[in-house]
Amino acid sequence: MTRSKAVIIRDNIDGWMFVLPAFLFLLLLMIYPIIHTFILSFQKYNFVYDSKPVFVGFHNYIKVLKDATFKKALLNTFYFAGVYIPIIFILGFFVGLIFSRYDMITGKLSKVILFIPMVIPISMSSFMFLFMLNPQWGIVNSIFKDYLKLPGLARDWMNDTSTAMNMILLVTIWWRVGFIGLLFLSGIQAIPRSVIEASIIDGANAWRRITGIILPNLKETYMVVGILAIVTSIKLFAQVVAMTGTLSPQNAGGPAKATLTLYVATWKSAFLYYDLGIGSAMGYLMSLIIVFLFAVNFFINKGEKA
Amino acid sequence: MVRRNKINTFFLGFFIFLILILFMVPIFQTIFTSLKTDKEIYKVPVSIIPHNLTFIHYKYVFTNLASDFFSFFRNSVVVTSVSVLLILSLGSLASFGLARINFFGKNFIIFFVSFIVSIPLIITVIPIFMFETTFRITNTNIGLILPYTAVYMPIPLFIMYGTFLKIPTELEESALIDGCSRFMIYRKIFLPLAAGGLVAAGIITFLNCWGEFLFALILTTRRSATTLSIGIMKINQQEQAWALGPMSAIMVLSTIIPFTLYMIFQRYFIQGLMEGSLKG
Amino acid sequence: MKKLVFITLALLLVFSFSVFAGGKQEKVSKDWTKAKLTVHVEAMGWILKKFPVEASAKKFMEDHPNITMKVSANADNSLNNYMLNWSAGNVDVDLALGGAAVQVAKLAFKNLLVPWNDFYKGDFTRDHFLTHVVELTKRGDNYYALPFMVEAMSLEANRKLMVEAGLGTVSNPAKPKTLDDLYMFAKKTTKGSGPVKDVYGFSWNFTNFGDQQLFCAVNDLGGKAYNDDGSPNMKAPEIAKVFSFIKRVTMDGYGTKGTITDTNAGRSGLKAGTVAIIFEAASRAIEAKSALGNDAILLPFPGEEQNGSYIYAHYSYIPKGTKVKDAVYGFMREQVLSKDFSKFGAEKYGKLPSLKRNFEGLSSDFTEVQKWMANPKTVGDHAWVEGSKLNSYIWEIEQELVSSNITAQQAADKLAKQASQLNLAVVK
Repeated sequence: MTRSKAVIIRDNIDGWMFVLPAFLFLLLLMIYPIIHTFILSFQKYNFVYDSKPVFVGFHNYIKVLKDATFKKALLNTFYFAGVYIPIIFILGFFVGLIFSRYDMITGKLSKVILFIPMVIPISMSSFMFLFMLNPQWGIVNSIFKDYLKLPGLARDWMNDTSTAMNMILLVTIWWRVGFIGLLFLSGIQAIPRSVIEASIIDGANAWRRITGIILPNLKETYMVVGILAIVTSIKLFAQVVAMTGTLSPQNAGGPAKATLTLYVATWKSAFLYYDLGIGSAMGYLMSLIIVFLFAVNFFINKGEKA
Repeated sequence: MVRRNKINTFFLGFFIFLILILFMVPIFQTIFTSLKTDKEIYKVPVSIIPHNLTFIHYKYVFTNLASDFFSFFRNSVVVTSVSVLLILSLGSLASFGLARINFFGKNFIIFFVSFIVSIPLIITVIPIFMFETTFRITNTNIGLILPYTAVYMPIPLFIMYGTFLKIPTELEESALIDGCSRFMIYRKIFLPLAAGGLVAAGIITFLNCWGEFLFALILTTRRSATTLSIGIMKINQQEQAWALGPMSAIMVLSTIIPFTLYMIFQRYFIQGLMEGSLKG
Repeated sequence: MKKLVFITLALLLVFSFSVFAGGKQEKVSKDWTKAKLTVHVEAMGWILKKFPVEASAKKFMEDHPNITMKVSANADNSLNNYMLNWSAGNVDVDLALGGAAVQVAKLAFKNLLVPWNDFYKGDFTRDHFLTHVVELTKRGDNYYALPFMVEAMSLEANRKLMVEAGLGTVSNPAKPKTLDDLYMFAKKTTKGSGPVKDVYGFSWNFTNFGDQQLFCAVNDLGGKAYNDDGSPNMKAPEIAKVFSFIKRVTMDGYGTKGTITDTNAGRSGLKAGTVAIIFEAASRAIEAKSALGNDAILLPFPGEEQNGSYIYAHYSYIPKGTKVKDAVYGFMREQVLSKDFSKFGAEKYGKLPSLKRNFEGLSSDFTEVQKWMANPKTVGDHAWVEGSKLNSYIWEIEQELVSSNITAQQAADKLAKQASQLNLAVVK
């Protein structure tokens, strides 16, 4: 269909009129900051001790890459992503699958229940777990020690370097599993009924149905869940700050950096130590990592489709 | 065969039920803690169900902590509702434009918005903070509404974009021929048809803003200006010990609104998500 | 001709002096006794609870009907909000209460504070205060903050648990003389089995006080906590000894790690009877009296009786840009530094006065602390350029110490190496 010139002009004016308000918002509060931070990342600027930012080239990036704290934060973030992403995929898939099969009382009830964590602010969810995991009066240790009579299983969960990060994983999974399950459910329900019914007629058992029909048909869901899981892993921040840094912000990421993530490290250098240049450089390195992970996610799921 | 299936189903149901109970422990624990006396909270062994119910912590929240709690609550409600309204109105306009009009730069904007989704928000915080201190709007509700609106715009925008794309073109064309303006088409035809997507986008935005952490942490430093999600962290700083009872009471109270909203809109939410989110 | 010049100069001098004096006089008469003013006081949350700030403000308003006082809580104990807002010219506070020397030094370095030099006169000259904590605020010729309360480090203990474990008697509880004694105390008072004990003998604070405890312990063991130029002596051999103690007592299960996520776990535990001995500010013992009665006692850290304590203060400071400095001075003189204000904080919560004369009339709980504080070897808080970074490093090392295989000596070396990369000169 060819369009007349008048229509084209009108479409252009109309289109921009519709888009402009939102676009201006994003321009002012997203794009300008992104550019500003980019410039800052090439400047030495300690907010307290430097009166003016000084251009230093790649110095900040080099300093960050050499920094042991950054390496530890990177390692922690990858550990989190490496454990979180598979678990959330598997759990989310099973939640979706169970919802798709059991639309009975438990199904409806569990839909409600599994989504409750989503409506609770993440800082509050973190506190719920923090209190349950308290070594002295937390219910988890109390159950181990007093109810099950297994004092050997009690731990100082959040104050121990070996368990602290796993507890943060636990909160995050608890918080996200309902939502991810919902995405899988909608993916499963989008599979044409006829396809599944045909397989039943063919005599495929439940396992074959899952591996042969449902799993290969969820490409789009994998992509979305992958993106969301990557974002959740990289921006791991509120849980850590609430659980380890509420009473002393400088301790966020403790014990002994065991829960220090890239996000927390960036926040600490920019807003606790006022090294704005270093903080910006960390932020940009983090963006690079996200872009890299997105690309991996894209190619994995694209590749399967082809 | 059929019987075995039924038994299987029963056991699976029972198993799911057990897991759900385990899943609910943090929530029950919080509700129960808020109903225990201080003595019982710190008593070992921890009682799972409170022995004697007390509303003392709720009373404490509404008396001693009243000014804090109400300002947290008011800020959360104001900031969240204004942000949601702004995002829904601006976002639906923009997504209508993107979905239904061919104009120069459209693909650029779509690319641009998806680029924004992927950057870690923390790199926008430093300049936004500088910008807000210059205009002296830190510690105000506007100071939170502005960044929230920008930051949480992209995802609802994509959800609404997906919903608008699905609406058949005939309606639009006949309306255009009738001489309706684009805005009229948007308002009279598309908005009602896309209600599900709008509700889903609204709920997602609501939950995001209600629980927002990073910006509220950095941009509000005074109790009177902060939201519930950050305010809960400030309660114990005054007490210099975890004020477990009052904190639990606040958690329970502050979850009531989002929970009720969620229960009301739950059906639309799931439906809307299914329609919209996968297209993003 | 010479005469003329001389006379002109003299006239000029007199003139300028009169202008100067007049200007000054005008400033005095303009301020708080007559003009309508609003003074905004902001205090850290806990200060509002432990000191009668709100009541004092009310009283001050009654005494001076022309002044309106506004009191609010600063919800950010790290003072980031002040740093970032004030440097952007966003000042709406006239007096801030609360902040450690190292934090306030940053504000001073950024040139955000009004000096208190002209405050120190009459009954409030510097020698009326505990001198060290005042001198800590000196930058160039200026004193940029005023201490309004002081704390001293020591051990606080639950006497009942100690006596039960056979450590002395009610009238004469045992005192640890060496770190090994303290370890033994912790071992004896610990109760329960498994990885998490019912009662811990000792609690080291791995956050917020981890640095102060370290310097206090180094000093009390006879070491040199600070170099002569005021920078920290991170090469002191005592650091490894202290680390070795922390590691032993914690790894053997007699010391709790609870303070890592809950910096108040020590004092809460002391109150709840789940921790026997803590090493924090002496005020915790007074505070714990609400739960333990007279069983909450102070003990000297090993060597504290000989080598003195470690004192630190919380400061009050005035941001640049305030127009009511003199009214703030009035409020400080009449209310915050008054006997009643100090007494409230001291008797209920153990916060010590910074003004020496306010010690008079306090209960006997404080006599021992006063003795330790008066010891000339007592060390005080610090204000180094990258002090808060050093603090974080110390906490992190201490946490690493009790959760990995690193030895005390390795940890001390690592800390010394990290510290050598920081600028730890005293903020000048």
